[in-house]
Amino acid sequence: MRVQVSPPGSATDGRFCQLLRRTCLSSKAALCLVFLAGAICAPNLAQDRSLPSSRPDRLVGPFLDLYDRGEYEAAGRYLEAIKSLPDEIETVQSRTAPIQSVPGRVGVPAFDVFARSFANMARDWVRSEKGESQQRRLRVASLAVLEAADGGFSRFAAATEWVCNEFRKYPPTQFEHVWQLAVLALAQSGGGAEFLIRERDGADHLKHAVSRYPSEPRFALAIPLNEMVARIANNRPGIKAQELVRRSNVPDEASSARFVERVLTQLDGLASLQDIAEEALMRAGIIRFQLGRFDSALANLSVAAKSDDQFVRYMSSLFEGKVLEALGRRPAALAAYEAAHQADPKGQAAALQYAAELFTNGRRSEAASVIEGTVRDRDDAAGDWWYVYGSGDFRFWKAYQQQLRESLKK
Amino acid sequence: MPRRLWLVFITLLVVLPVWPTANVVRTQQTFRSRTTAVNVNVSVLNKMNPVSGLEASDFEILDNGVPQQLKALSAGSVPVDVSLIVDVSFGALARLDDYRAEIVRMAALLRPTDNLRILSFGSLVTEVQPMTRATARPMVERLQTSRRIALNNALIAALIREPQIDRRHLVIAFSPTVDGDSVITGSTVLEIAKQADAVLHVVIASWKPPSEGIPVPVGPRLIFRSAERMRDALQEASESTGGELRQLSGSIVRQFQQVFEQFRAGYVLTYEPAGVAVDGWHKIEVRLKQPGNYLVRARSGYFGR
Repeated sequence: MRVQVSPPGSATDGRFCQLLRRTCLSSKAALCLVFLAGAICAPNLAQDRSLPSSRPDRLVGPFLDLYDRGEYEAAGRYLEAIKSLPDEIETVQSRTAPIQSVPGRVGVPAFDVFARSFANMARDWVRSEKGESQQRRLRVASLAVLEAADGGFSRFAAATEWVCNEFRKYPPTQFEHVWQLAVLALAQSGGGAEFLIRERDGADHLKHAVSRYPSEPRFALAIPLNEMVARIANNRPGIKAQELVRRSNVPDEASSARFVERVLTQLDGLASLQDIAEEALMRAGIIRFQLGRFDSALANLSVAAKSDDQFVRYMSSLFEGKVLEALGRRPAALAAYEAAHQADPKGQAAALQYAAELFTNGRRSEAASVIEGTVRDRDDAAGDWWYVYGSGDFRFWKAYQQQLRESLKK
Repeated sequence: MPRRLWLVFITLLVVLPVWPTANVVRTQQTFRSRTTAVNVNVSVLNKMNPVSGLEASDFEILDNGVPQQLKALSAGSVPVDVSLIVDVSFGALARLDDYRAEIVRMAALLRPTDNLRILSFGSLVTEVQPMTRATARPMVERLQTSRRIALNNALIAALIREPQIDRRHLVIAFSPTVDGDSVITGSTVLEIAKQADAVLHVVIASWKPPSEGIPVPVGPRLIFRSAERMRDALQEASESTGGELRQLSGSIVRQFQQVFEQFRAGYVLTYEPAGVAVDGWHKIEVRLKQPGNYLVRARSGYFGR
């Protein structure tokens, strides 16, 4: 079964790019949102499965509204937000422990306290409305997972699997497909990286996702991508495999080398798969660059740099420039940085790298002009793929979030 | 002059072609003029106190080992363009208002003829205020917090600037710690610093590398950047301009004042390179002729084109 999901990954989708640029929310906020959004899938399930319908936005709507206004730290402003929540949540609040803000952390812990208390009393809460117990279970799972932001990955895994298990009782839906992609994207944002590669939790979860949506190429790419996010650190070029792999994961040089080669083999194997081939090449090229295999890195990156996917083109050109610089081919490096800059003129990483290369080539006036263009009148919401490329599919998070929200309106 | 230990701090600021530059910059996109004169910004200190009253005859300057004839010396009356780089990473969140007030106090230390530009860096480098006459109140309200520390990015954004005749350029960067997120590497900062027409001072509050516990997407945050290696790169880059890498002690306003006063009380030496090839790297050495335990710190050189 191939469920059509739009628009993640579409290079030509301006809306997605705009959304991506706004993707600077914290992982706590992100965790909050995806699972709040996950919770909101309940009405869809309800419609699909003849469960009682309800007003799903009553619980989380005010929070989502805050995020709609770009207030990505809404979770940290819980105390303000809670005042506008309807009776349902106030009832819950009255039964939780007193909420106090901790000095220096601007109210975030207050939300944690709430989440913890909420989870502790979840069973009663779920049972209190028999007709809505299905939705309430999902909401509980959503809020409980907020604690994962403090390092409780087991809670994250448990809650995710709990929701996933609920989904698996019914046929695949488009909403679930997006939800599965969103969970993956969020876990790859960093906080859930360990969860993704733990055989008991993450691997199982990915297997579930693949079995439900076997034609989804992002799940195929997720196999090496999860390993990269969780175990491979970015580093300077020309290093040994052991330096590339986080020492806590792979202890010695031989096993590090085997691990890195396995990931490279996996990526190379995806280079013929439509939709993700160029990204697989790009990611393989970046690893090879760090290992100092400049020629093979260049072969990967130069192909990927011709991609129609703006993200792939941008990052591939940027790293192509770095490879060429390492090879001492400065004029070619300048051309590659310029290509990266052209791929996304608002991307500051490419602009700065391009300006630096112009400057060292004696083209000071042009360099100064590029610098002015990238630091002046910045749109604060504008992001840079440089900051998310190491986070797997996290760059799609905003788009998935939007799709989940849109589905609520239907 | 007393025989006690003198600390001499010499900052070489400007390496720019003198009179042909203006025309070239105005009429061409590409700066390719020949080096006809070199301006050297020099500060002389004794135990961190500026030394005044020196004359051209007190200095000796070598270009690639060849003694050069000084054409001019001007004292601290030359107006200064200050590029102030401030961090707005996660740590600044709790004290943003204080931070803004401190920047206003720093601006008040400048002279009416000086200019101030403010760049902030978190994940993005943002020009909070373009180079503006120091009499204007700084636009500190535009400072917003971020969650990253892209110091290297900010440094090159400040250093890459068209040469300004008759003005000196001082770059002062305040950062909570060493870089954690930049696309620009330390070696690129050094490469830019060596060719820039600015003196760079970097003030770091802590040498601990950026915390990996900050809840941001991994991205480059996982880079195994050794704090020691980053510190060495910053030190080499700042010293190559005649500036200094410092650890924050006391308030940032006080630190700014120290750097600025030392810079302002300096000298600008001018010479036309003679007896050396024009192209390539020129190593510069600046000495005081008079005997004493002087510590001479100067720009390491410039690229002739």
